[in-house]
Amino acid sequence: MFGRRLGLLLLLFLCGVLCVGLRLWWVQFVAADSIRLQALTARRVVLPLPAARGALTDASGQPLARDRASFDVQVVPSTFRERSLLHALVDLRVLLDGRSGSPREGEGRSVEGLRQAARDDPARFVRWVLRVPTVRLTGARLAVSGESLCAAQGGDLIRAPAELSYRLRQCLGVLEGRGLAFRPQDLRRVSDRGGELGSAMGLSRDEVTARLQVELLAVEEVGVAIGHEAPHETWDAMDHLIRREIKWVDMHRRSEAMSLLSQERFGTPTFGPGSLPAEDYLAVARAARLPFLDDPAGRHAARSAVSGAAALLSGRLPSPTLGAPRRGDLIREEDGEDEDSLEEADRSGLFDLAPARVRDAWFRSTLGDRPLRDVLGARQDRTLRNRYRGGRAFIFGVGASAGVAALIVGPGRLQERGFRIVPGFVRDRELFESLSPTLQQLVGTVTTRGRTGASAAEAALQDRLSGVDGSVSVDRDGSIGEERRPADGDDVTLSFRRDVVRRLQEELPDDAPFGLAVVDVRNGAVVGLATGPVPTHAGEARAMRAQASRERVELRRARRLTRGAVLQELAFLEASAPLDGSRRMRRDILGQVARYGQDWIGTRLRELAMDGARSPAWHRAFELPGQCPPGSVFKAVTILEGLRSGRISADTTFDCGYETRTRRFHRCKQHGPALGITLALAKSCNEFCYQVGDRVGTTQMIAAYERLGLFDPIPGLSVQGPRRQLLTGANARNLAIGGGSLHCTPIRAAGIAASIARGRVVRPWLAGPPLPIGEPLVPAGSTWMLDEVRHGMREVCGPGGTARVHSAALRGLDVAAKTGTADHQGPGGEAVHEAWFVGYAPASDPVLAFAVVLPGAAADQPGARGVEGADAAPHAVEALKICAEGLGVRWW
Amino acid sequence: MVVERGWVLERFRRLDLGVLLPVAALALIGLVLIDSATGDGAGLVGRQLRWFAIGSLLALPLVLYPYTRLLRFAPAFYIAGLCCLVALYLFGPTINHAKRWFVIGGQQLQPSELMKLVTVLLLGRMLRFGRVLDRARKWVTPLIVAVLPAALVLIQPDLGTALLFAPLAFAVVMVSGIPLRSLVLLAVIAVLLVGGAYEFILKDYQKERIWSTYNHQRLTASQRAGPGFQLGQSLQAISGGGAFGQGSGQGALTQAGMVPLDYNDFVFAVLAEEHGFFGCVLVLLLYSGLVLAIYRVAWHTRDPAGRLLCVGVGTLIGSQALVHMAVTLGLAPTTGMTLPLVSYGGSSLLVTIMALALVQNVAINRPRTPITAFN
Repeated sequence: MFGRRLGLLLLLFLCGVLCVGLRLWWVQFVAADSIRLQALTARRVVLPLPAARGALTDASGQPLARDRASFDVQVVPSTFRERSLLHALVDLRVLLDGRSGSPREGEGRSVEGLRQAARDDPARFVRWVLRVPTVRLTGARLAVSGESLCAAQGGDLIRAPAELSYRLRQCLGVLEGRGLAFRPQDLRRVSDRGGELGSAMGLSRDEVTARLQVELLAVEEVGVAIGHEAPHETWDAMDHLIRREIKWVDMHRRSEAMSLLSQERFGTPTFGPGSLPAEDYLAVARAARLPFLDDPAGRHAARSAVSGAAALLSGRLPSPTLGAPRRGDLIREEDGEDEDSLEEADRSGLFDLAPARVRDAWFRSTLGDRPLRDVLGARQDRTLRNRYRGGRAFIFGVGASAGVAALIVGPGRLQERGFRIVPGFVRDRELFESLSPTLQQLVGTVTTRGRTGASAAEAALQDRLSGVDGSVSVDRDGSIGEERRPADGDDVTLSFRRDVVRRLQEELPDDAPFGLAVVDVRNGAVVGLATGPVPTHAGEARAMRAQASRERVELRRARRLTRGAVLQELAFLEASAPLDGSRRMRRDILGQVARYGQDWIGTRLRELAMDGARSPAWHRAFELPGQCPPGSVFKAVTILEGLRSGRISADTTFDCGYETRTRRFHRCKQHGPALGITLALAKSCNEFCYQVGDRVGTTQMIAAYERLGLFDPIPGLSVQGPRRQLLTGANARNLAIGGGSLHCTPIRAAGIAASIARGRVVRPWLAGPPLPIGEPLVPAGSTWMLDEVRHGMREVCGPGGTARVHSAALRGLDVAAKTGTADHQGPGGEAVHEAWFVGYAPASDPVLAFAVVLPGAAADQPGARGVEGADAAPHAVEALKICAEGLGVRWW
Repeated sequence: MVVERGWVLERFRRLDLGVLLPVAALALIGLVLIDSATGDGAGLVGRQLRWFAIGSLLALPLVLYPYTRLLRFAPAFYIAGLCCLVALYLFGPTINHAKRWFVIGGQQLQPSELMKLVTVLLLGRMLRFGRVLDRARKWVTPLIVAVLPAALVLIQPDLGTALLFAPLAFAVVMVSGIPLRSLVLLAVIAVLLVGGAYEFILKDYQKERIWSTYNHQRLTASQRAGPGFQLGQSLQAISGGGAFGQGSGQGALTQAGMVPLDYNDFVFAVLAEEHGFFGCVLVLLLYSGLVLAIYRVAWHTRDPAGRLLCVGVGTLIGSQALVHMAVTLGLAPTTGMTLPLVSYGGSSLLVTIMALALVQNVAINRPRTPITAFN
């Protein structure tokens, strides 16, 4: 019985095996095509739906920035490896098959007809040029025929002559055997990652040809949609991306090969001074013979570097590593620093023998002419290629429409050939270019890739302007799967009118740097902004700032180098010509340092700072380079805080004369004995404010600034406010006269003036909705405190005030204001003034508050503009008139 | 036990080459397939070799120590195994929505794999006297022994491993001499049990997976991207293999990483795509040869416990291989089932090697003269 039952069991098992075998046969031979077809047609695709970015408009509803939701097209080049050859091949195959494009159809036409034909369909024209049947044509004859035809017709026969040569080049490649032969295994090699062509192997040649042609035409269509003028541009772009990807993969292969060689030679995969024995590293550095060794300027430094290393090796120093030893390596644990050795090593440039260069030089010399494949081994090489190829998508084009997206996304479409789409956007360039440069600075820019605001309002309002992308999944059968609608960004209205800003910019003199802001006292809206000098376009300002920033980085880097290292690097850079922009800048800087020494760096840094003070790179209404204290303008705040806190009263007087202690701080002007609040403000008395500052104290002064919103962000601006922490250790006397670590910009100063005018905290805003008016500045029933300060500010513009020079114009507009002249040390150590004029008008019923600054006037120019705060008054008068007209009010 | 001189050598000399050779060939094929499916990066080939080494070390005592004595401990092993499964259910970590593995020292160990072998051991011990199971009460107990761990494995949930207990119990009970009418009754009960389990125990995703397997042609695109995805990719890869395959390391889909778990639960798809129909037939023949060799050992031994042990192990390996292939070919619902000796997987490989060591143990202890008659 056991035998029978065992036999039965075996039979059952063999039946199972038979079933599996039959099913395998069915899957692999009978139903293979239908399964592949089903797989191709059954994919579900997810179509991203980009959210539209919100528009920016001015106060009158005029658009300032407008974007259109679109798609960015990316491609994984490896899936298109040598596809350009396939492109040519398909053309050729169609020719050889004689399916379309009769070889003789171009003949008999007029030259004009030929030109038209070439313009209409360049590819077809090229086919005609090739004059099939081409089976007997050699490569040489192909080239000759194409070029000679081009020359015969004056070179302008087709829209882009480069296209003809491109096509011919590709066709030659195919015919000469450098390209692909039309065999399934070659197709499979080409399509290595995707597998789609691999699955297409079972199809007939004609089917494959037809598919490829449809696909390639679709690629060209995408190219046209994203701005390529002719198909050859598209294929050139593809070739470029393919080369970039090859470089990327090769970089990883080289890195791996380097690790292998290092492991083989030194027993460690990490080549570097930290992981190799000192003797080995020194030998490598010697053998590498870096370029600077051959350079006369660098020879000495290099030789001394190696001798320094040798000194270390000989036991004079306990350095465990060479190449780029840390200073700590040269310190004996028991003896402390060996000064002589440190100096020697420093002098020799040993600290700067860059490990990366030594490693690269060693790798190049070790590798020689061997291909990387030999080092890596065929299998490892293949694994690395497979791992990195196809792992990165490159930008192919931006601004594609939904129609183009539909060409790419979908089963059997370009998405399966390595194309991707990601939500993007296209800015209305025409509108943006129509804005004045300062308006462009106010609006700001948006990064293309991340669709995030990069500067100004676009950056500050990123959260509101950007929406949330959606998506929809579509089945091959047309059914819509999960759908998530995009949530568009909000439109944002800015507080100013573009025509007012344009007038301000046009009518205010900008021969010297200035910044101006005008705020509506009633709601805090910033109604006017102006700056000078004006950049020719917003891009210029960005470029100047970037250039200055790069130079500063290079200068600071050069400051850390020893003389030997400077010479080495200079020699290396000069040997590496041609150089790109940043390396050229580095070479120039190092050249100057080599010539004039390290002191030159400090001088250049000071020059840069001075350039920044006068450069059009900044919109000085809300950003000022370096420190810019508001000066006496803040005396009004000091006195108001003194009154509010009860430290002084309306009757408080102080003496201002030679005998006081003011010389420790700022020269006072002997305003006389028993000086009251009004006169102190009108004459801008330092001594009076010192006394008030002493009584109020630093902490309470900072609290007052905080209450006035000095540290708050301004909606619509991405710039940071002054840092509160910088003030905590400041002297109360300095703060009392608006000096010390205080930093202010016109837009914030105008906000403070608006608060004094309104009697409540008015926070300026650039992007709506309007900020609510804040708490009262003084307790209820104490408005006399504000009246005292306001009266003083009116007197500033009177015959006895600090702005008396312009009193006629100011009185005409009923202005109450405060002048300020902040003295501080400039970048070169020289005394510099910041001239401020801050106030509001009309004084009786305030509508507008303003602040003007003339930064960076040299103190040794008596009578020059910007030396006194009142010099800024004409700007204010002009701006008030323009802004009032813009708002439709007139009080004068 | 006194070890005589040459005793060990003599026992190794009596190893059954009919079992050993297909095992070696399958293991080699497995390494090639894992290497191809994962490339060098994952380092799974090295790990698989390590598991082979550990398995071989564990197999040594199992080959040398007489299995008749080992059977004494079968109840203890069985109870310990059940406790493990209960502990796993109560305290085990949830990995991939299931409680199937203990994680010890970074390695995942699957007690259900070991439980299959322990169940074979216990069944061998219970039916070691060669009694004919002519009455229901005689075969109900062995069935309970098989059903109990299967139920615990099912609630992990691990449908594939749980189902393997069915052919195991069926084969052991069948060769033990169960009457035909009881066999029919058993089949009816099995069908009822399976129906009940489908209705009341299986989760929705498991039911959907079963449905999608047998209705693959009618799936919507969304379903193909969901429950039918693995099978769809597997069939696409297999269909691209043709007669001789696309070459080792050249499979378009498997090299592109488009077949999920191609080194483990779908390794047969790699074989089919890269080595084609004839490569698969070779592997099928190797498995047939292995099962045949194991049954041959059972045929040649006189000890009923040894016979049952061999039948259990042979059925276990054979059915697991068939289920794995059936899954990749769309004949059975997708379950996490490895291809014995070929797929990557530590627990599965260890248990398979240990099971084969027991078969060798039986082979070593069988009489040298051929047996011509059985009861």
